Amino acid sequence: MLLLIKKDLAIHKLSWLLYFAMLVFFMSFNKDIIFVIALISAIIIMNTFYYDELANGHRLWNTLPFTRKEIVSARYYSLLVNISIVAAVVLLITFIPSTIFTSPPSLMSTWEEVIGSFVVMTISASLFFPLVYKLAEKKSIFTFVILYILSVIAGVYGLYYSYDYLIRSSVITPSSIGLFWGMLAASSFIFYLLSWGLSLRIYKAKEIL
Amino acid sequence: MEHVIELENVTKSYDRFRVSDVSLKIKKGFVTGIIGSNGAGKSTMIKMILNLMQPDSGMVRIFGEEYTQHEKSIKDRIGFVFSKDVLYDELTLLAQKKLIAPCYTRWEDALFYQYCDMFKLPLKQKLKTFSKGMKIKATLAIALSHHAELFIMDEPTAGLDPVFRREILDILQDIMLDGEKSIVLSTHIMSDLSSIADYITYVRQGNIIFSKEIHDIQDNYVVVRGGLDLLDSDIEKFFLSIKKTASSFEGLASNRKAVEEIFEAETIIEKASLGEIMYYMEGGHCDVAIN
Repeated sequence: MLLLIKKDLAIHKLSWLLYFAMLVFFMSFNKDIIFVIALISAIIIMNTFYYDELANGHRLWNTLPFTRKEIVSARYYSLLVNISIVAAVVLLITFIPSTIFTSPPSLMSTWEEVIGSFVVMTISASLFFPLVYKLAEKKSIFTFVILYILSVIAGVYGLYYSYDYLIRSSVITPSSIGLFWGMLAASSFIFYLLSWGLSLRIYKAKEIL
Repeated sequence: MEHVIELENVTKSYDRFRVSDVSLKIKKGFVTGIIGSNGAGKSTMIKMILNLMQPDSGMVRIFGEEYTQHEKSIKDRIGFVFSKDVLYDELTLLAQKKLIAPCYTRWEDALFYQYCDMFKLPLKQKLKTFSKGMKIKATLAIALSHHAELFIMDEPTAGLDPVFRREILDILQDIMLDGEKSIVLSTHIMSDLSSIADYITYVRQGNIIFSKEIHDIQDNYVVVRGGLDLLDSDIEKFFLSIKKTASSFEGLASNRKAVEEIFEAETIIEKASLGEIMYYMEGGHCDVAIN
């Protein structure tokens, strides 16, 4: 399984530089942390699907000594690893004293934005991963990549403005902010686990053409 | 273990196609060719053997074991070659090797480099710059570097020029020298099989028509050509397929001795090639390549 996660990271090769450049670009334009982490993580994970599909990866990895359970689980772990890597880089850059990377005035604190990006990513992935496993082919994978990235962007703004509304309407009070994010993160993670189970079922029955 | 692959009453259905109740045993230490026209069900069988598809019913055993309990250990002992690309175009062969090598318990780097050298494969060049033949060779180098006991190849020579094909076949012959390895090869290029296969399994419309030793086929299958006046309903029963014109016939028979006794010197009786066998069995309109 660890080999598959490593593979998910390794197949990007020099694209990692591009991801990093995009991350720096967005941060230099004072984009919110939640947006940068979610967007870059989304691009990375969907590129993983894309590269695999182009290389007939299903056929390759299913012929190598792996079970389908390991192949699907590795992808779910990979997303968490991707979010962690991107979040770590973003936080590192945020803490660099610089005039270029000044944090924009935001409704959310840094830790809220990190949790927010985790919530958006896990929910979007929960919806999209089973669909990709069920429906994606070489011809359609690019459409899924675009839809997924758009859904993540929509998710970021949806979460941001919903949070803004809940704060202004006092549904969330300063004392309940921790509880709100905790429950949101836990719910999204449970949703992620359910999606994981569904993807396993779909992929076990999938015919690798 | 006498058989490396056993299919027992395997059935797989699609909307317009069905592999029906297939039973097949493939012996260890031999090259078995699976032949059939396009869409006959060869690839479906190969995919079920590799667990890329599961049968609707029936049993698939590899090395005497089932995938449900021993998936990883079975796959660890199989080397595969597909006609389709299964490597990452953007990676170099070396980078691809680094991803695949740790997956196998018996991978040997020295062997991989030896094959890359033998096949003249550039390690540091991206796979997208490789020709189709080089990509097949790259997959073959990978398949050969982990001491696989069973090689499964789905149309490995499809789309390759004759020189490349000959090279690949020579390599397959070398693989078989130690007598411990087995190869299952699906193809519709009959001349490839004539030179290396020990057994031939002929698949048509999802059914196995026969599975025989190639010598048995070469000794017994004949094409008979003669005048139409020599045929009657009893004699026609000796043929698997007959094509008639206004004055003559040509037919495929699977019992050379019987046919020779019946016709004696009145007809032309020639050994049937695999291509001819397929041609006649498909009713004279299959897309077999005999080159």
